[in-house]
Amino acid sequence: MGGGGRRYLDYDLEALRVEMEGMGGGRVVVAFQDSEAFDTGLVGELVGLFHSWQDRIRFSVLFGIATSVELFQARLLKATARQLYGAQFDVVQANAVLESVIMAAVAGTKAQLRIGPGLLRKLVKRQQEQVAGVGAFVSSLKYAYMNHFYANPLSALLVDGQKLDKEILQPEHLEAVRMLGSFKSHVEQSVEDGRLDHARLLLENDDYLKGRINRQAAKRQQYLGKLLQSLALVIATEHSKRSFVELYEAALEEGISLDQSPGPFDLGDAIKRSTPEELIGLIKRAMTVVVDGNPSLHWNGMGIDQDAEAAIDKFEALRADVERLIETSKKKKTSLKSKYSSQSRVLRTTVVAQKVQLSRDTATLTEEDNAFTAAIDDFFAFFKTLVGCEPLSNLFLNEVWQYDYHLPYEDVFVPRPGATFARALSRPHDYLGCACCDKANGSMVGTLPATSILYHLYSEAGASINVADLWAAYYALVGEDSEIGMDERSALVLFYRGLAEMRAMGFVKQSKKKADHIAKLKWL
Amino acid sequence: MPPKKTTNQKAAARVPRKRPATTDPYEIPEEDEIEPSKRRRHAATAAADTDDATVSTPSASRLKKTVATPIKLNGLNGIDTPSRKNNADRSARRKSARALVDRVISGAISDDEAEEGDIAREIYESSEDEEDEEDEEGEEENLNGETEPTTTPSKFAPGRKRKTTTTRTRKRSPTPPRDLPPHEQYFFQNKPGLSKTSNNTLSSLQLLTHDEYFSLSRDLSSANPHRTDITHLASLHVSSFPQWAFELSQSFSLCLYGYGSKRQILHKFATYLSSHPPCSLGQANKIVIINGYTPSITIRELLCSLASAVSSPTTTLPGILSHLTTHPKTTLTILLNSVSSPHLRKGSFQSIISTLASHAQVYLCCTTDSPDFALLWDSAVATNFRFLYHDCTTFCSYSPSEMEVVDSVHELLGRKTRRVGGKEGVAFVLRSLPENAKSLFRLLVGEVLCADEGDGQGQGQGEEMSVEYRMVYNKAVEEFICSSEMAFRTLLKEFHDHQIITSHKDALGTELLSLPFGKEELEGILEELTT
Repeated sequence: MGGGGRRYLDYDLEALRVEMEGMGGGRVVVAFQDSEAFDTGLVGELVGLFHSWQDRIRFSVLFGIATSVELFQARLLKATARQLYGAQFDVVQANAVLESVIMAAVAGTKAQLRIGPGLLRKLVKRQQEQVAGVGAFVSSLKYAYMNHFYANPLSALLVDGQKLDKEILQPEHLEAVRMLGSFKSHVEQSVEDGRLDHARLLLENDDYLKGRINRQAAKRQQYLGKLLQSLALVIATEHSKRSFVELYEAALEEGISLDQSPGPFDLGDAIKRSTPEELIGLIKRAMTVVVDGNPSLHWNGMGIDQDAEAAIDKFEALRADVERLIETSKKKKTSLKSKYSSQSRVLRTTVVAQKVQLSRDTATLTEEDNAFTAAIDDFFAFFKTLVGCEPLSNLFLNEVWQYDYHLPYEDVFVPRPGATFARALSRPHDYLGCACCDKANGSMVGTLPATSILYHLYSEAGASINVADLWAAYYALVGEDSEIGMDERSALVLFYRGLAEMRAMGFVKQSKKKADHIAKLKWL
Repeated sequence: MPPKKTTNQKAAARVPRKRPATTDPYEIPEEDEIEPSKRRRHAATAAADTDDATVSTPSASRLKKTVATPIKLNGLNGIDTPSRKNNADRSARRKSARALVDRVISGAISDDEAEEGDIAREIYESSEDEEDEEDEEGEEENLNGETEPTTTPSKFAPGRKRKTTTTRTRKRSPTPPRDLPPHEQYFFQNKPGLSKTSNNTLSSLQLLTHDEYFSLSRDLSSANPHRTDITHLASLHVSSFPQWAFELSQSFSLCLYGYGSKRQILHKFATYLSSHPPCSLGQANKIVIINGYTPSITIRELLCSLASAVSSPTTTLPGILSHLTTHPKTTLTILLNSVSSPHLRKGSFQSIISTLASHAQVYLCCTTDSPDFALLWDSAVATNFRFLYHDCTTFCSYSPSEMEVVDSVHELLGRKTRRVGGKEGVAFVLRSLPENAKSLFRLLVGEVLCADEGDGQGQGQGEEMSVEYRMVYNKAVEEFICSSEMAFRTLLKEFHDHQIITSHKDALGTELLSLPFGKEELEGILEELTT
């Protein structure tokens, strides 16, 4: 019903106009998903109609195009195309979106909680395997935070030092801390290193432990800085073929070490093989990272402490060296190379007395070349001091700020209802814990609930089930001749109930093939 | 031999035309008089069969079938596809035999060879077994073949014969394989011809009536041996209420699944939520419980009750949502029983609920009773819901309002549900109908009983006896029950409405009428009607 009691037909756009006026104006957006599959004639007519109403209702049309705009336009009538005034919006690849979300919300400095590598891998895998959208990932992430702060009492230790000490920390927290795996390994490590006092104090002195806990926040920040710095530098080399997410997972799980070979951070060879120009580019990028950090990680670089200045000085010196070497070699009209670059080693083939001889020849290196090789070595050695961190699980008290349990996540987001129903019905003891069905252990006994017995019989039966036989089998199990000794009518009531429940759960349906037969619908 | 082949093809092409004439078994002797070209063809196919079995075209085999005597039919099986496997087996057997002989001759055996030899021996022995089996089969078929055509020659149709042989071969694996993965089991159990179920029916069992069901189930529920365990299980679920409430407050929706009725749990949760609302302080939380299992549930009704709960002036979905947005102090908690019930499976309903759930001030917790609930929602709807799934297996039995046990089972068994029971019901219905309706029904019952007797005991017990519509109409006109087909139809419709007759069409399109009662019942009805 429109204003003034006028009644509009279902397809009258006037009704829409009145409605829009009531809502205070605005646009009407009509989206065509999968435009290619849409009938072109219909699109043309719709566009014409929208166009004629354009002065009263502001229409916007949104086409999802899988091919190209040109192809789409070619399919439309000229008249239709003329009525459209369009802009093209490119869809961002889901992976790119996911990566930027992960960089900001999982890996970045602003993330309070570290999502452990196992869970992160699971989450990313689910994104790739199921078409779930980034929303699902964000939900999962949120749920991980919820879980951590809801279920882990030690998450309270993430509060800033002063407040933690005075208000929140309870003796139970300390006790819990002493139970942690990372605490135990830390103490064991201290004993091995001969720091017996430290280990004793940790174990016995609450205040000492409190002090350690308070220092934890700073250490965490330090670790995080180093981790992100390493990752940013590794990415800046542009030699790693892996995506950021993979690198991040590997860093958390195994730590970062450039010496590991083969490994995700096996960059040594690639860096050493670089040409002088590449090396200069590399040094420049590394300097940018050190100074400015990586904005998508919310990491602001190394800051302005001594280390950072030393790093910048070192990089500047190296760059100057290499540039000078390039100049001299240009003057001498030779090409600058290092002993690592592939040109330096040549396979030489010589034909001697109709036999081919292969010989490996080390091309002679000039003075500049040697200097350049030294520069590369120097750079790599220094680069190694900047890049590297421990695995997350090695850190003392990592349990406080790491969450890596995938069970709750899987249960809650990727349920397996089929398995749950099958388990409940085939092994009710798992849920009920009753004494009577204890011995059953997944087999069929008369004490099971009626539906469970029917389910057992059902899973033994074929595609078509004779209800009369089903009833006979059921009654043989619980009837007067069995241990249960139920009378026929009561057994029948339970049988009815079980059958009705099986039907409600979608296990069986009516079958017209034979009298009193039902058809099986589920194979769990 | 290309020229010969062309004649073969010609003959094969001619065969289908000749076929109708040869279907009569009494024409079999004519085989001797077949034209020479056909004779040559026979020889040719036989020759071809020996070196390549695929040459036999379908039409050729059809010809053979039509003219073959039973014994020849066995021969036919010989060139049918199953036999190719046999041929392969035989050649494998021959090879393995040769291998065995060679080995014996050469004498020396290395370890490897010994193993090979075992395999060869196995092949040899297994095919021997099979052959025995086949021989047995052949004999049996011979017997069948000899007896059948002599006693009932007209029944001897090649198709039939084939069927018996195929079932024989399938019977070779009588024990179903155990511990198959579910999908394999599905294919195993759905093999055509495998469904072997007995012909037993529930006819000897007095089915439950509603009254009996309810009176008995009341006693049974108190005697349930698992009662304490079920209460304990429920208490475990209750202990996770704070978690659920927390999850609701974080703008997730909940979906509780698992075996058993979750109505009571949801009610308890509602009670919990009323004292611990998921919304922040200062917001008024309204709780609405929707019973999805109610058959009469409609979207309009649902929206009306939601609108009245939040005192929204409009009852449309956008109206309610915009009302909530403009009143940030009001929050709405929807507890929905059985979201997957058949009455709510329409896409529109699910999308409305999901749109509601996506609103920041709406909290949704729903339960589901079937394991397939995930199929209800496409990705857009699922994204709106933001579900967290919890296993909430309760083992509670469903309340009568949730599940119509007796009706459901009778529907499953193909019995008429909610029909007026037996002869009392029929009498009750007929009492309210005019006199000619009564006469028509009496006529119908009489005819059905006659037909039943006439047919003897041949029909299965579960089959309802039916009579031809046209014949009943003619008789009704004869007995002045009705004068026109129109009037006749009107009377029948009345019976249909009360579900005391059913009608269907047979393969030839003849309309048949039948009565959904057993023979004894029918006799009782007839007695009642005539007195």
